[in-house]
This record gives sequence, structure tokens and C-alpha cells, in this order.
Amino acid sequence: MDVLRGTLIIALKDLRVELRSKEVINAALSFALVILLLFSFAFDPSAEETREIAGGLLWLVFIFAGILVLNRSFARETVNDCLDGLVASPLSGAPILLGKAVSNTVLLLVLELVTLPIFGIFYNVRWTVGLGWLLLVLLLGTWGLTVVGTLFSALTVNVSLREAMLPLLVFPITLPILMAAVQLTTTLFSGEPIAPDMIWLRVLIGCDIIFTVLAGALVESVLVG
Amino acid sequence: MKNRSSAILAAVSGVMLVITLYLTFLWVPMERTMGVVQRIFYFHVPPFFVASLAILAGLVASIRFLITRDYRFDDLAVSAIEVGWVFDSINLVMGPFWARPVWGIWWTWDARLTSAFVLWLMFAGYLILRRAVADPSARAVMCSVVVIFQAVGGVIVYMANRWWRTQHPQPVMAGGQGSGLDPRMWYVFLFSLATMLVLFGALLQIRRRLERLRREIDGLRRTVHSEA
Amino acid sequence: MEENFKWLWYAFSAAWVLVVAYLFSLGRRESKLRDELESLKSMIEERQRK
Repeated sequence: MDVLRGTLIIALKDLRVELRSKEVINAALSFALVILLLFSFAFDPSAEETREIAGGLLWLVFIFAGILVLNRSFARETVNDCLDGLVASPLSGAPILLGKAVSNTVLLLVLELVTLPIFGIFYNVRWTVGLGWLLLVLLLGTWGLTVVGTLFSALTVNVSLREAMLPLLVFPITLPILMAAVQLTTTLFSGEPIAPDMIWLRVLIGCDIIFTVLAGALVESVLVG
Repeated sequence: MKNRSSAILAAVSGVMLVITLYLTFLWVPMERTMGVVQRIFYFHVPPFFVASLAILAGLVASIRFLITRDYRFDDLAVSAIEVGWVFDSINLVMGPFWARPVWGIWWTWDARLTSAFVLWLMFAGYLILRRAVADPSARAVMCSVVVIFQAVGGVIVYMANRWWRTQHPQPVMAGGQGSGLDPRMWYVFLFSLATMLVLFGALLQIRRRLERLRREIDGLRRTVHSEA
Repeated sequence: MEENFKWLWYAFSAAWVLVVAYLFSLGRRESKLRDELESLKSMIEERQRK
């Protein structure tokens, strides 16, 4: 399928560009560590209550550091009219969006998988129990945030105050994804079974599907006008 | 012609507003547990319904704009969002004045309040984006895309909040909204809702007129500059 | 009871302030736009006379 091939081409291109300089991933990782430090002042890492909100704290780290990655996604293309080149290419909007979303998801997952053990150490959280489920939650939650974030990155690429507009627009929309991810993560961290939270898993999957379809349908309007 | 319809709407909403005020303060019976403060309910809840309607109107208008590229739909979308934002602000501002004497707290993160706040942030985001983009056609397209996502996301947020917040302890609402209401209270509530809807229509028309003026100016400016 | 009237008063005042402020904003924006429209129209008329 052409869309699949196009997606793969774009995804690999973006990842290759990022791997060469590693600038975004380094910035995002450093920022994540700074946030963890700041949280240690706001909350006492040893307290029992902190463990109850651990899921929320972790995802806050992910989204604040992750927004740097998403912002860069299309901002990178404004240099040398690369964006015009992309739009003029035989690729339609969908593979461009999906390709960038895939590459962003990969980068964010790298960020998350590095941050997770550090978080576990700093806040004495056991994350190895139910690891399979946790990885699934990370993947589904990250994809949902990324597909919306990537589309809006394209949308805000020429807007002033782009860095502030992206979170302002993306987070209220993707709130259900965050809520579901936080709920599931907190349950997994506490070692309880995931069964009663299955509805949140369904919310995650449902949101992912809805937002992916919506983004795919609207990307042409965003890129071409 | 448009001016007449907005004048009529404005007049009707003015009259209905006066009637609602009379009903609220002089006609409806006193609520047993909360007393006078409960009357805030009649002016505090309907704006939230209007704001929800506003974002749905924005959704429909935006979809139609993207399909037809007729700028009158963009006028409608921005007007609905802006007026909806005002109504949601009214809802958010009146709420704490009711909550403080009744619950003892200014705010709680229950399903309704969180949804109202998220809705407000969505409206604000749209309006800020609107001002940040100079080119009219790009602005209209971008804002349309944003509203479509926001409306869909907003619906999901509202539903997800109902599941989320029912797992946590909530303050007990003395009297409660819509639970065992005296029929007279229902009448006043529904009349107030109707009033708010008419008021929304009136403000919508005024705002749309404003947007049409702006487009006319943009068109003229282009003519002036092209002849220069 | 006296106490509760205070809250009622605050709530309604706040709501009215918002509505009135918005109406003012609409009015001011409209008059600014109309002025701009007039000046543009007269500019065009001048050009056509030349």
C-alpha cells in the first residue's frame, strides 16, 4: 500500500535526521530530569500519598518533555522550505502525518523508557510488576497524544507563539487519553490487578482510533489549506 | 434586513430576561435547605447548556466551512465560539458563589465543573489562535480544524469525566440539581434556559455582523492596495 | 439568611459584569470597524476622482 510505504519513508527519514544530531531527544530527556527534580520539592517522594499519584506525576513528566519533541516535528521542516517540498511531493497528507507521528512516538517511547527506571528510583515506585500491561499503556497513551500533537504541530507551524499554542490546544483535547493513561498507570504501580480498570483501556483504544481517523481526514486541509 | 432580526432578538431576549429575573426572585418558591442562594441555580446552569450547544454549533459550522469554503460558515463558527466562551465564563464565575455557602468549598474537580473548565480552555485556545494568525483563509481553515477536534474531544472528556469522578468521594450536594424539584422550579429553570438561548442568538447575530464587516474591510483593503 | 444574600449578590453582579463588558467590547469593536470602513471607502472615492 502506498500509504504504508509513504509512512515508513517519512518515519525513517525523521528518525534518521534526529539520530544524527540527537538534539531533541537530549533536550527532552534533560527537561524530564529537571521536572523530576522540581516535583521532589513539590511532593515528598517518600510519602505514601505520593505513590497514589505516581501515575499522574509520571505522565506529567512525559507530556511536558514530550511537547518539545512534538513541537520540533514540523518546526524542523520550516527551514529551507522543506515543508513546501513535502507538500509538493507525490505523498498525500496521510503518510506525512502518520510517518511523523510514528517517528515522534518512537522518540517519545525512548524518552519514556529511559525516564521510567529513573522515576522508579527517585520515587521508590515498583514498575516491573505488570510490565507488559505498562508497556501497552505507554504505547497506546503515547500514540494518542502524538497523533493529535503532530497534526497540531503542523497546524501551528507558522503561528506566532507556537510553543505556547501547542500545549494550550492539544492538552484539553487529549485529556481523556491522559486520564485513562494515568488511571491505568497508577493501578499498575500499586500492584493491583488491572481488571476493574478495563474501561480505561477501552477509552484509550477508542480515543486512539477516533483521533487517528480524524487527524488523517483533516491533515490535507492543514497542510494545503 | 440582518439588522432587524438582531434587533428583534435583542428586544425579545431583553424582555425574557426581565421576566426570568421576576420569576427567580419573586415567584419561585424558596428552597428548603439552601435558602436564597439556591436561586443562583436558575442563572448559573443554563449558560453551561448554551456553551455546550455553542461548541456543537461551531463544530457543524466548521465542517460546513471546510467542505464549501463559504466564509459565512466561518463567521458563524467564530461567533458561536466567542459568545459560547462568554456564557461558559458566566457559568464558571457564578458556580463558586453557590458552592462556598452550600458546600463550604469554592471548587471541586467533579465531572461537571471539570468539563466546564476544559470547555472554557478550549474556547480560549480557539480565540487566541484566531488572533495569532494574520491570513484570513489560513486562519479560517486552522480554526475549523481545531474546533472539530475540540468538539469531539470535549464530548469524550465529558463522558470520561463521569466515569473518572464517580470513583472518587464527592461532596454531598444538599438539595441537588434536578433531584425532586418542585414543578414551579422546573418552569423557571426551563424559562431561564429559553431566555439564555434567545440571548445567545441575539449576541450571535451581533458578532456575525462584526465578522462580516471585518471581511468587507479586508476585501476593500485588498482593492486599495492592488490599485496603488 | 443575611449571609446568603451576600453570595447571591456577588454571583449575579459577576454575571452581569461579564455580559455588560462583552456588550461594550462588541460595541467598541463595531464602531472601530465602521470607522475603518468609512476611511477606506473615502480613500477609494478619492482615487477614482483622480
